[in-house]
Amino acid sequence: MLRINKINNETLKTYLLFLFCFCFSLVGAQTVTGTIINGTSSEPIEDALVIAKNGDKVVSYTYTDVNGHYNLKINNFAEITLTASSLGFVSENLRIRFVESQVNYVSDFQLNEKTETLTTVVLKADEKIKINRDTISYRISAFKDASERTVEDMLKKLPGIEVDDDGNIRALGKPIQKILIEGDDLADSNYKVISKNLDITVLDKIEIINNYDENPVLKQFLSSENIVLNLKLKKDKKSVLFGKAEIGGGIENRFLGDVNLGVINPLVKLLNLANTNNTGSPAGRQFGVYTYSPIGFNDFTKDFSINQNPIVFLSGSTNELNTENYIENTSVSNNLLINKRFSDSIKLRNSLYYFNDSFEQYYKSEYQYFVEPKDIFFKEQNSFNQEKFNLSNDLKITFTPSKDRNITVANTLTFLNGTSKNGLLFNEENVQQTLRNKTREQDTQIQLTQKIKSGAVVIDFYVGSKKLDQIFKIFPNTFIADSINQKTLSYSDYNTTLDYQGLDASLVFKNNKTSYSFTGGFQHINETIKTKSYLGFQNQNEKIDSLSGRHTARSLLPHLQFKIEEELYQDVLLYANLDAIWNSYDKNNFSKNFFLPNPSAGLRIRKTKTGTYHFKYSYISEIPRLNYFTDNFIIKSYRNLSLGISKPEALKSHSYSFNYTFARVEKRILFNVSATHRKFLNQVSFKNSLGQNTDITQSIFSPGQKLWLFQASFTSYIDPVNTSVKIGYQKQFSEQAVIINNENSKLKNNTSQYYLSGTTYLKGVVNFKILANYTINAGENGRNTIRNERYKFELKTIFNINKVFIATFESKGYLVSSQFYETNNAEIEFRPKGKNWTLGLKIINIFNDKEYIFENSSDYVQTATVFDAVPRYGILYGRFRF
Amino acid sequence: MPLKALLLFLTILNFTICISQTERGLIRYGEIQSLSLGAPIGVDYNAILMFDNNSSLYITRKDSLEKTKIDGQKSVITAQGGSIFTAVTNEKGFQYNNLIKKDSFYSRDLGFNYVKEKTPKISWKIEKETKTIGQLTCQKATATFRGRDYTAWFAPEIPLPYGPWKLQGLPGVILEAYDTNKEIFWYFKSFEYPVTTMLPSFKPVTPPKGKDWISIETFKEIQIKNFKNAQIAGKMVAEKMNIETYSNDTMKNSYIEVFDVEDK
Repeated sequence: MLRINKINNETLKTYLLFLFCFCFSLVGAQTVTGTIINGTSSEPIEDALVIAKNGDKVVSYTYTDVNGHYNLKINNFAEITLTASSLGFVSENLRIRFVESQVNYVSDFQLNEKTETLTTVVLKADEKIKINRDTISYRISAFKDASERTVEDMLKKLPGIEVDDDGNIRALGKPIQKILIEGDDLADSNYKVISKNLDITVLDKIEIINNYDENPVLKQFLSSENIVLNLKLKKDKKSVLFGKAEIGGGIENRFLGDVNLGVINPLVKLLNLANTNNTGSPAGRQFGVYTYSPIGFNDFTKDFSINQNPIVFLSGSTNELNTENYIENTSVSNNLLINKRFSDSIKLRNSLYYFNDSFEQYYKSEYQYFVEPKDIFFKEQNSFNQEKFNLSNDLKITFTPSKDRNITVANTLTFLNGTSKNGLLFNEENVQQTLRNKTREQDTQIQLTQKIKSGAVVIDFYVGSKKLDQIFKIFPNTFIADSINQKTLSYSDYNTTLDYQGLDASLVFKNNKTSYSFTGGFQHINETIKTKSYLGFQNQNEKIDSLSGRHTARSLLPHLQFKIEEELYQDVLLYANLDAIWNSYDKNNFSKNFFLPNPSAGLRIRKTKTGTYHFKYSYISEIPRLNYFTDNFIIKSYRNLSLGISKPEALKSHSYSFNYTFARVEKRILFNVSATHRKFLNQVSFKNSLGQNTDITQSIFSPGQKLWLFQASFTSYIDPVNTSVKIGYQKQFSEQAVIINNENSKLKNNTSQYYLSGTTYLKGVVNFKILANYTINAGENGRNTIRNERYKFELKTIFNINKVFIATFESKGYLVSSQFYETNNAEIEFRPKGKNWTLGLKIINIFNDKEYIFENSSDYVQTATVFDAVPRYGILYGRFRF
Repeated sequence: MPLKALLLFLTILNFTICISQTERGLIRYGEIQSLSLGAPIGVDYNAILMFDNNSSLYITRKDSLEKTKIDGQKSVITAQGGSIFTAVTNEKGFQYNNLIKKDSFYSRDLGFNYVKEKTPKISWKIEKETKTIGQLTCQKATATFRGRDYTAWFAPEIPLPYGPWKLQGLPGVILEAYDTNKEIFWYFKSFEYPVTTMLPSFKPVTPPKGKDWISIETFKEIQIKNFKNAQIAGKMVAEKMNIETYSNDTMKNSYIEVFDVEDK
């Protein structure tokens, strides 16, 4: 029933006129009230809904109170439709057209009962919607605090992602396979090229993709333990040219230049990263040998390439300091990455890179050999000059004709030229060593994957061909002592070739909780090592027969493999890999057939009340590479001649490992223990004859080598000072049987490390990161024990003023044999908010230290090395993004 | 005669009692929490909303609501043994009781705290968009509540101001709701009215002996403290791995109600 006040027409007209004057200041606000009652029982209906709509738009709504009353305020609408409804009743509508003269309206409703059954089912109670959980994405805006520059800086901030000092990235505890950009692969496993160079401002999200499988056939039924990161660009950067330019100059002719250029659009992605500097960032570090080994059952993306081993290594000595403190470099590099989609089923990725690094280093060493009959002592003063030129191309084409078939073709070409020059003063003698390297490598791998009824067939075919030529000159020669040849140089020519071909076919199945596969394959490896040493004086070259030789090793390796992975219960995983390899081995005039079993098994138990456990066992057997079996003497350095083993044998060892983690964060406890034991039944050892001027090393097989590694750490958090702390202990013990100067020795080496580290999270302007480490090393060689102890301190102080000025001071100090010395570097940056440029200043070796001393000892050698420090310099640089 | 009258009287009484007894409704939802992960990839819990004309009770993470243990969903484990998703249910579950007649909201919330507060007033903006969920037409509404921007789809055909968790106050029951990126996501499974199947007891939330109600202010303090603990956990893990970690995080990446940000 409705009651409406009846208003006189005359009064209405006057009222309207009156209101018209106030039209602009008065907003038409009306109040609608009323009562809603049950039509049958006349009882008021509490919590009935009254909703006022204007057309489709909801203007206002309310629920009736305990007396069935409602009160609605309507602003600025000429008319509304009121609907009164309640469960179990028929809804009622009423139209109200507002007039200016009336402010209050009363509308009562009477609702009639009805039996209502509203039932609708979209999913059953236990059903869940299907969601792909393989990707975790982080919105960069949620974690950014304006202090990040490169992708690497940003990754350090994201939960679940860790970046170590070398830039190696782990996500969710596992090493990542690669970094994609908008789903496309540009750099393959050389992902550091992207993480260290790409500027963060073009990115919107970073995704961690779990279960990543490039193989679309296997992905349909196999899970994978591979993890990749996918960078998603900001919407306005998806089809555009972007980049950054950095340029700097400093005292003492220091310079740096860095240009990133990116072209990203749906058809092609291009990234060109160019860099040149002499401020401690060698190009080789980014293109370093990073081989990604897939984890777990799904390792069907593995790399079949085999590495070549050089005969001679001539590079300077390294230590724990940052390379910029003790190595001078001049580097130029350029990396062009392309990813192009030719059609829905053909994709191409190519990476062409070039770098030219040159290094300079100066250091002095003192050596002491603890041997019979008398200790040997000598000094070296070294100047090192190394130059490397590298041109490489990585190509990969993927062809997916249907969802059940996938073909990939990958090819790598490498050209490497290098020269190492070492001028040294050996005791009082001047010796010049020069090594020229020339590497030519080619590797091609083709993989075909075809889906079959309950699994897939994977066929891999690979071919590789590698050549390494080394020319090694020593002047004057130090091996032939007679007076005529004293001033002649020794000239050694080493040629190594490695050719391999192979075919592997696998049947892969997965049902419910078990994955298993059968593989059969065949590999052919052909290695040759040719060594020629000459005595060259004036224009005559005389070949030294005892230092020359030719070796060929040919292996035919058929193998059968069975792999299985099974989830026994939730969070309990059992896995095993049984690989049986036969090697029909042929070397010069020796041949033998070897059987090389390689079984391994593991058990992983996660998330129990007492923590997480992982046990693993493997048995490893293999034939060492040809460079161990060169049975003529080879000149390895000015004081080292080396002889290989004449009769090849298999190396055999057992490996056991255990890992345990326990975490109770509320009690501030995080505890981790791991232990590894490797027991060698047969291993390559050596027989050394050490003399004042020359060392002769002969490789031999010896049983009984042992290695133990134990680590434990406890991490906590100290609330009052907002600092996380960790204390840890690491112990390494190894035992090896050797022969030194005709004496059988059992070398035992024991290293213990105690360390403490802490990071502060203070809210103010300063924060610290501290590390203190005490290492004690004891080497025993049956005769005596050599001890070595060292204290190390590291302090990193970070000043952050409003996120605009950021300064980092890094100090590393060492206390060795009561001598204390340190390195100090600083980096200060000015990042104005909202601008796309940054200014920075970098200072190396603030206190202009002159040298750094390091001591090393093994079981019978003690070395003390003094490195010349790179003299103090500062460099001012500017960075601009576009 | 008197007997007939008595019988008539009893029948009428019975009849009126039957009519005045309020019918109950039951909505089943799925609740997925994936805070900081940018997509609804967290653990998917079963949840129910029981209601009548007087009040509603929303229950989630209850052991008996899950037929089997939370299985078939990969919890993501980090090397430290901690996990990004903690899939945990408990005996009583988390309960949220909206007593519209008393304008009060009683919850058995995180940390098993019993929180009493006035029913939160959410300033919903009702949009024109509609969609069908099951056989019901739903309309869209948006609001910012305690640090998050929510989108809710409510059904005017069920004219009661109820919804999952603490989302309520619309001219219809909320059948689906989510925040930006669906890091909190309630999705609809089924609706039954009146309820004919067996229901868990529809009793108002009461703290057990020895536990008291706390106010929303106290609960806020407890949550902020818990959050700080979680931050510390992250820092401890970073220390153990000898890596850097982000030092300042917002509650938004760990809790639904962002108490360290003032609601406008």
